[in-house]
Amino acid sequence: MSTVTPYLCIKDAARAIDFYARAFGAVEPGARITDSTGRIGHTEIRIGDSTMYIADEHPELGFRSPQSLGGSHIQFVVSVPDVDGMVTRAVAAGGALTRPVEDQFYGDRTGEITDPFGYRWTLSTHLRDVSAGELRRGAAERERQRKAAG
Amino acid sequence: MTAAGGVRVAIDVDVEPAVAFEVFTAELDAWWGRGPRFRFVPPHAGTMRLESGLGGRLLHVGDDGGRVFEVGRIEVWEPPRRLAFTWRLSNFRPGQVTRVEVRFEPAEAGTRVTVDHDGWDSLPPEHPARHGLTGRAFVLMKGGWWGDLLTAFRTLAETARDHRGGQR
Repeated sequence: MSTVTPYLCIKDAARAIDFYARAFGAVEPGARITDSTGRIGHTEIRIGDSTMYIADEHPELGFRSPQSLGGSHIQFVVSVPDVDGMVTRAVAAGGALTRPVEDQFYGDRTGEITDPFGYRWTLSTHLRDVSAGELRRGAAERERQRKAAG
Repeated sequence: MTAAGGVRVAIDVDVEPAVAFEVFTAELDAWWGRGPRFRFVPPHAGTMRLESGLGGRLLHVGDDGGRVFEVGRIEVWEPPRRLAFTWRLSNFRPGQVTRVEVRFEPAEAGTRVTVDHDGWDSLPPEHPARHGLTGRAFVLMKGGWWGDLLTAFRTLAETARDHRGGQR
């Protein structure tokens, strides 16, 4: 095993790459391959030290984007030093805030945005290490709150 | 967009357009890939040479002054912004010709170098240059080929910039 790289299929990949640059500081370090209709056949972006591949959707190959499928079953979790700042930046870039930023019982502070292309991104900053006992109590407490909320 | 059936490959290079154009043309052999994947005629050694100016030839010159293969001729020579040349492989028949256009545009990162390789529809679908590929598979094959070349080109261009002491 070496590296697992997600391959994002996107409707209007060029606009998405621009969004990821503004929202997450993504860079496109290599060559972008485009076909004669302007569809991106392949490129890669780097966010932090992670690489993602990106292409436009190619319905004739069964390669469809979240927008065409009515949502995505996958979400990405990004570790950032300042989740509040990053979520603000991502929303300013055009992302939808789908879970507000809040402290979690497991010691992280997280928020979630959904990008204009249908992918969900959880942004997360680790605040503190949590003991096993505290983790159990926190999980039980959250379960109680969920049930109480119906 | 490129012409029908064409492939576009773009890369950002951290040098001025004039440096990019100079390295792309005058130092072509230094960055052009070697071996059977990138050299045109057996034994796939020798030198790649681009003669400067309109009508200049793109040549693959064998070692020991052996076989000289003409890939194409320059149709557009507009330093430092644009360059275009015809492109034929040794197995192309008369009338079968593709065309490569290269643009060097100022970009935030220095220069965006864009290669459009068009004219593939002059070849029948079964032509060996297509490697049996159509659609996206062909685009990725040909685009990946140019992508590897342009990545090597970028490395050399940025090294050339450092050696010249030039800063953007």
